[in-house]
Amino acid sequence: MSTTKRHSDLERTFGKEAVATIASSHVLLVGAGGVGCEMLKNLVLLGFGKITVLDLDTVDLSNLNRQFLFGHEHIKQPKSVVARATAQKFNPHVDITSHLANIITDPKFTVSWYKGFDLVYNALDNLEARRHVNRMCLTANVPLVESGTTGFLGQTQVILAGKTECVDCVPKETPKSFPICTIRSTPSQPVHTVVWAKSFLFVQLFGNDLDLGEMDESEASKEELNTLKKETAELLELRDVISKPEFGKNVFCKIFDVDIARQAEHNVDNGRQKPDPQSWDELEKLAKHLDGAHIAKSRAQNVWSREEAFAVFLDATKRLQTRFNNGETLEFDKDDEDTLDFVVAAATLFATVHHVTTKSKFDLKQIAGNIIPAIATTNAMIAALAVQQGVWQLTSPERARDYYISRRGGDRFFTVTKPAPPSSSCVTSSAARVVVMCDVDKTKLSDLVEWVSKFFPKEELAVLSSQLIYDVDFDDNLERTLADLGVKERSFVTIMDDSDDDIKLRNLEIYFEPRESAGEASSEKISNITPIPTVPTYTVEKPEEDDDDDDELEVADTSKRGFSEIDSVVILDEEPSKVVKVDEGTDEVKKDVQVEDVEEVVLLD
Amino acid sequence: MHRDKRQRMSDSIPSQKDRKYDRQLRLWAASGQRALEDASVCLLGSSPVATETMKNLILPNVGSYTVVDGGNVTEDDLSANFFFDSDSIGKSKAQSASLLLNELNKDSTGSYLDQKPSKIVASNLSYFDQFSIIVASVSSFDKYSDLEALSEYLYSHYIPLVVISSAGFYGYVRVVMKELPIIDTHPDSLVDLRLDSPWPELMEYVNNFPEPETAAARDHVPMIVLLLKTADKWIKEHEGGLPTKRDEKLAFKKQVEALRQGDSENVDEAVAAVWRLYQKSNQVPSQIRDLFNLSAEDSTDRDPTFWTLVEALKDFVAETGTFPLSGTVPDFKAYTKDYVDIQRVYKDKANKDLSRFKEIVATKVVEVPETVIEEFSKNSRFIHLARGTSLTHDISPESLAQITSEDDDLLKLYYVIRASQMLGGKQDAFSIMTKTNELGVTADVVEYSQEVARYEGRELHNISSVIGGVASQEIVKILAKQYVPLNNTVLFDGIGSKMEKWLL
Ligand SMILES: [Zn+2]
Repeated sequence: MSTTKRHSDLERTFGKEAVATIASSHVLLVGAGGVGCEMLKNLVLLGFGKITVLDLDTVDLSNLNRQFLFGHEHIKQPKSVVARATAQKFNPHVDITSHLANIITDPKFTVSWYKGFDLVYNALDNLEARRHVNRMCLTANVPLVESGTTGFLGQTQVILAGKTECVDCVPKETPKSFPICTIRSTPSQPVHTVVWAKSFLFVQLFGNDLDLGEMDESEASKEELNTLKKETAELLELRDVISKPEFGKNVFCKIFDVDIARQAEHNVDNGRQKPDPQSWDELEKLAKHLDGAHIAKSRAQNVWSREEAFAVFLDATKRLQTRFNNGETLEFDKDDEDTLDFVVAAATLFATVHHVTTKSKFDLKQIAGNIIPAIATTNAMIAALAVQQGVWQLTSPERARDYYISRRGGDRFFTVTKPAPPSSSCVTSSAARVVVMCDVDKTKLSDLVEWVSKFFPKEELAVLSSQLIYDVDFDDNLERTLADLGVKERSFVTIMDDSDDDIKLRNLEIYFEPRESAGEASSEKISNITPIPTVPTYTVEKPEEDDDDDDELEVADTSKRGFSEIDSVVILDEEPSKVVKVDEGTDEVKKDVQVEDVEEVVLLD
Repeated sequence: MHRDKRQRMSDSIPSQKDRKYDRQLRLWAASGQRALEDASVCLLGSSPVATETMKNLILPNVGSYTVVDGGNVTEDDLSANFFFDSDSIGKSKAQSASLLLNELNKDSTGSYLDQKPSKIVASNLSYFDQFSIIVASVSSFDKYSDLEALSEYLYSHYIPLVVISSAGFYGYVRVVMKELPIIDTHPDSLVDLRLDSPWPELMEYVNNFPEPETAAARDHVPMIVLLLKTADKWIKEHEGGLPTKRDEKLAFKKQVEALRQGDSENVDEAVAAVWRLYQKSNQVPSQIRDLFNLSAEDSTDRDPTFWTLVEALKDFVAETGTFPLSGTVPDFKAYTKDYVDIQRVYKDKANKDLSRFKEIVATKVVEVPETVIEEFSKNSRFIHLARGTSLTHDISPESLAQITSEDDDLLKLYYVIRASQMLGGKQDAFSIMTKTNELGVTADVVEYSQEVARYEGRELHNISSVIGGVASQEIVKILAKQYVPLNNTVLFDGIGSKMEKWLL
């Protein structure tokens, strides 16, 4: 269809001027997943002039229930490329560019690059990338529309440097970790057995590096750590026979028999039921007629019996052994059936040993993979609302709003708020920023400190890159170059006012823009950089004493949870009225204190 | 061609399909998915709001759908619709839309009917009997009264109808259904500890729980044991019952807190769960009581399974004074063995209640599958009956004059949109609305009318996409018979960023 026709329809509703603004705008869409596909469709049909879409991922089967720009034939192809090709058909007049790239690490994406966009849309699935784009947009002073969904919940938020809340304004929950002794010797919940199977056993047998991410060593006793070390060393020894058929049997006997028997003997723990070592001979007999591969596929909704888990354990181990011996680097992936079957079977057996109730493969997969539900309907709503807020931001900014689809909505489907001002305690929002182009290979730390002292009290300033590189008591590095100290182009250095004064300077973040990206032939000397940035001051707040109110107790909102992987993180704790105050005198409290499975955190009404 | 498709589906290994729909199975489980895949949807209209709604149903794999539209695609239709392309121009709308919709998901079976919805309503209403749900875009009807006639027919036949509408920055969704029984409403939690009325086996377990001899053991006494022991002591000391007055409750809480020695997580949990002692397990929630009264009504179109189960529940409550126990226990600090033991005490009681409930169901005429009885028994406290109204219970154009300035802003807007739709968007008729004098309406009604007139029924893709998202979500709930669906109207104003919901 002709551009004029399309425009005339939009002009009827938006107005002529707004349509012209949209048509001449260049937007960046970060992420072509569930929300991203919807957004790209909306942007194309709205007639945006130029769209750049970026994604580092490839299409997976489990995407197809919502990421409608992809079909079965696109599995394993780059999302960014396929999304561009599919969407382009619907409006040949839109100029779409795609990047198969990592938004955080790719050297192309400098502050100057961000400045080339009128608007950025985030449709990401992880907090790290969200925070990165947030910081870059704040530095480049480009409006960002942040969005995310999880199951029936979702949100979209407009982020403007200095004017609104940013991604960091509301602290996010960190992923849960468990004491290592709970995981290893006193598991009591299915999640403990899954963490053991996934982060300990699987990695020990097939992985590269022991990942203690979900296990917390801090509370472990010396004796426990020694035992752990010993068992770990023994597991590594088992790898010697990984090419041999007896590998599975050896692993089983060590893990579920010898180690357990040792535990049962040593831990005469106050009244705890002793763990039950599993006998290879007994289970082999029981599982004689069982087909592990078949059980893994056909009984995903059922809790496996001891012998079923045994059969799957041996079958999955064999499958992983083959891949390992073919030189493959193995990593746990919830969508990799071999690794999933191994973890589910091992967790089930481990649960049997420790008398822990267990769950089906379907449910354990959710725990192991931190699976976040994702559906087409919520994505459609959030993507359209987010795109609309971006359009308002460009055409009539006073109309832009933040939306939440939450179970706290009460009578409304959506909770709508005006974008809130930045939090005064947010380090990201409150920092001053400056972009400099200078040769990090030639600039010495002393040059930087000298320049900064023009506007920071010299005796009180601290310089941080990924760690502290300078303060008044730590001047060893002054004669080293910035590059030598790990400060690269495209990275930030933070200057802090370290004084104890009541009124202090905010942080200053200095971004080192690559020289070539701005087309500069020669680099600036940092000492010559003008104008000197203005860094605001603030009054340090005295920490308040905790109010100990005896009459009330606080019940945490059941929807307040940390999610790690999604079509994007819904920052649930940003919802209004997150804490239900419960009066002691009331007879009944509607909300349950207990947080149940993820699928129960979904009610819209 | 369809047969081939079915063949391929059954041949593929089940885990392939489980993986494809994994992220939604997390929400509505295999039972909801099965219901969705057994459903057939009739889509009346193919404008953006219709195709966007349909897209969100095909992706999660609704079993089959039929696109009904009598027009041909013009260049105008392309601007906001993702499911027409330049090849569609001049061809049947129904055919073109279904062609591109089909590409979304080969597991879902699509077809089309090149006919005007109004014509089917006039000549062959029973055509709609074959569908599980009808999704009707208002703009696809010649006259609003045709849609009303359809609504009347479907309402009396217990077939749900979802009306969708989008023009300019405004859109609404209206659900029409006589009644929809829902067993699994997905309440926040199914935890039911019965601390206010512990049964003998639970008290026996608590009374036999050994006094902790070490500090570690003390920190592992389950909060259920702490609470019930403290409550038992209180009852003995206070000759009668649990605390009822505020000061008694405070005193009781102090007793629980006094159990703390150091950083006792289990005592924290007990303190946080004190309120459970004051729950009234023997109270029948008013919405369930309503169901008990309704169950006497009779109709062949009603869901016999659900009403049989309601009858049985009524008997169960009359007999035992309370509901079947769900058996769900929360996580709490305890030694694994104690945790598993307590779980078992609750499970045993839940199983006992379930057996009795099954016996009662067995005395009824209608036979109910075991799995359904089990699900019902577990959720019995939270079952829900959505009861709606038909379109004709709505407003008429004349009622516009009755709108006062005190009325809710968005409700005024809704009336204006509805009135304009009833007038069929006829310019002269509609222009009456945009003048204050003729109908004696308020100034903001005139303003809304002018805005609605300005759009001339044109859809904005973004707004249609929001409405499509809202509508499809409610349709999924209705088809899956899970969660509590919209009852019955929601309006979205994309300029003012407002949304409001009413039972009309
Ligand atoms: Zn911030």
